[in-house]
Amino acid sequence: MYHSHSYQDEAFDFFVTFLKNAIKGDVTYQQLVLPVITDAHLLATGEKDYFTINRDSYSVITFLVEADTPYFRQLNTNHLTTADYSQILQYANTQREAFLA
Amino acid sequence: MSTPSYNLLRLHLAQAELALDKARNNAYSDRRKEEYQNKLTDLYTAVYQEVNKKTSLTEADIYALYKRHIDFIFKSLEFLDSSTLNQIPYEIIECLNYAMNDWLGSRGDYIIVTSLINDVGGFSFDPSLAYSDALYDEIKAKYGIEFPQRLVQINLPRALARDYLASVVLYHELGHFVDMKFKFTESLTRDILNNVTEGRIAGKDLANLLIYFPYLNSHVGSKKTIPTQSQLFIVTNSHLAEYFCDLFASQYIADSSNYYLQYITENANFFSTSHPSTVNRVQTVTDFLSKSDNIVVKIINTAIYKIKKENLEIRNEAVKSDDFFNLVPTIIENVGQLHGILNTGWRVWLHQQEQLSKSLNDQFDNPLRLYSVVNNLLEKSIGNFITLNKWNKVKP
Amino acid sequence: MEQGKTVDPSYGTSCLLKTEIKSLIESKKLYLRPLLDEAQIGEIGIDLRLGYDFLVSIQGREAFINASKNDWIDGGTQRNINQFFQTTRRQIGETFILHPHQTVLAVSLEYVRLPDNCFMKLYMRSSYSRLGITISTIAQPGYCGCLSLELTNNNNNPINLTVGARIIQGLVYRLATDVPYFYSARKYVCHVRPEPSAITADKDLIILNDLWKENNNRK
Repeated sequence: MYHSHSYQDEAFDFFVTFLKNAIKGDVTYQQLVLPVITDAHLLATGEKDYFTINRDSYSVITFLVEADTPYFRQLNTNHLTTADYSQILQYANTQREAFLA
Repeated sequence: MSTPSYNLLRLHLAQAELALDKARNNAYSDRRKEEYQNKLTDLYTAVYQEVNKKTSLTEADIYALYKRHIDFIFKSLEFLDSSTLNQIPYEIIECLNYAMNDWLGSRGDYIIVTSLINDVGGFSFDPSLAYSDALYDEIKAKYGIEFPQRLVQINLPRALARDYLASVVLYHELGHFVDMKFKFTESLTRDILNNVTEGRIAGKDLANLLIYFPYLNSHVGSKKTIPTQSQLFIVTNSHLAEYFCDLFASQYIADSSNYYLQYITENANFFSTSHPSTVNRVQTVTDFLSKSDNIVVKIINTAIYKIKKENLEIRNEAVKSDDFFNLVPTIIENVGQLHGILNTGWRVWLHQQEQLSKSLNDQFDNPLRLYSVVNNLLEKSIGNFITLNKWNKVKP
Repeated sequence: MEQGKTVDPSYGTSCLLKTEIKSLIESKKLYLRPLLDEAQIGEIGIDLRLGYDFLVSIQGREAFINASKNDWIDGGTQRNINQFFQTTRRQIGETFILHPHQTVLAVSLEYVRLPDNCFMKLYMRSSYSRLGITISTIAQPGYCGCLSLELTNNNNNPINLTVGARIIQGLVYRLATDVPYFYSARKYVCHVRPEPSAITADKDLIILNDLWKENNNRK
């Protein structure tokens, strides 16, 4: 029967890989992570809720916001820096470790 | 370059080439599967070329990029290989396609593929290729190869591939896919848990909710946030997903799956970490079908509406006909009846075996004969609907 | 010609005409499902279409098909006749190649239920007979199911057939009395896919085999 969480891990694996490439300056990957980070910001500010955030990246978005809501609330998604990607990578890794614990 | 990990990657590539080569002559029931397979060949070629042109590859690169892409080729082929016209349970998949289109549109973005497995209880939905679009996005970004469709992977027992009674379970499995695409129950879990811990649900609603989720009792008004990775979140989410899938299925096959569920779970009155109690599941479906108040139906409908502006509704039409007792397939007049015929089959099997047996001059009172007759009439009724539809679409 | 008049004296029956066939369908005594085109009902018979499921004979590891109950000849390893056939499926509109001298079991696209007082004789339509395809089938009064089509290509060349094409003509004959299908035990009931021969279910074969044992001291 269906156990979704191993697939949530996989979604996280992809996000982490994408972030690592984004940190290297790869624009393609920066574009792939942008919608996820933007929705995390909007969820944190309350402009979106659990029912309106992107469906496909749902688990990653909610995990990130759970990790540090204030951080994502103040994040400027119009101008993401390498430092932002690195910080988000850290949250992603922390969350993933917590999830796997 | 000849490190062990690089050579293992080359082994993986060789295995993939062989698998693709074997699949080349597959004859599918659906042209889109052939297109999908061609895309897999394109992907293989792109990965092969990229790996060959690299002068150095770290182990991390191999695992994070190429291995996953070759794994994807294998996983896709596993299901495509089992979905040739000779193997796929074509009639029931056509029924599921109509149900899927109700929720995901009829643009043909999703292809139901099946894997026949050697486990008589092995009905399941495999979300490995559908959980997230991230892999497809990456393949597009990295190699410029776009997969226009997604595979919806459903496992079913080889022994029951032509069993139109047991196959009603597949509607439940399709429900898992729909739920996963829209995250109905995942969103709802967060909402429910927040409302419970914050004490925003009270009175009759709370009492009703605790009938279906008794383990939430100790968390009412706790003011604590339940983390997504907690056992409580996972269990609640899993139970909500099962309730959703039962309801999803019952839109199409009414109470058919209840019978089978009650039998295979021995009508369990207790919940497991993955599934609610059968008694509660059956009650939820019964209430939905009879339009009685039910808290689970209510909260799931609320979530569906918030996300998709739709509601659960009865999407099947009962087939009222004596055709089966005349030993002939029924003329199905619309898609509602297409789903409804499966329930008709169940009704005959559960309540009208004697009547059917009488049509056969009582000579076939053994279960296998009756089972074959019911299955054959169901298959031909559905098959005729599909044939007539195709014919009418192209006839001058 | 007067309707209902005998046209095949050897059977002492009447071949039904178009109006009679239509009347039987309307009165739900004769079923043809699906009937894609009314024009399938001709002046003296019904055109039937090639269905989408096939059983193709294959040469497997067994030396021969044992159509007897004699288990001495095959060392008591009598194999299910299914072993000598492979199932394959097409979609309507696709084609199927019938190889020279190959036997293929197919079914009609139409599910048929005959009245208890009518039987049906099946012939290849003339255009297909001329290609060298033969068939030999009769459907008993009251028969229900897709009609079994045992197709053999007697031509020296393979023939590509279209699934859904009208390849068979069924002539319906009326009997003087009802002969309900289920008055006797039936091996083929409500089938919708081709079924291999159930020859070894014939009770006569047991008697004949006992006779052989008697004559050869094999008891």
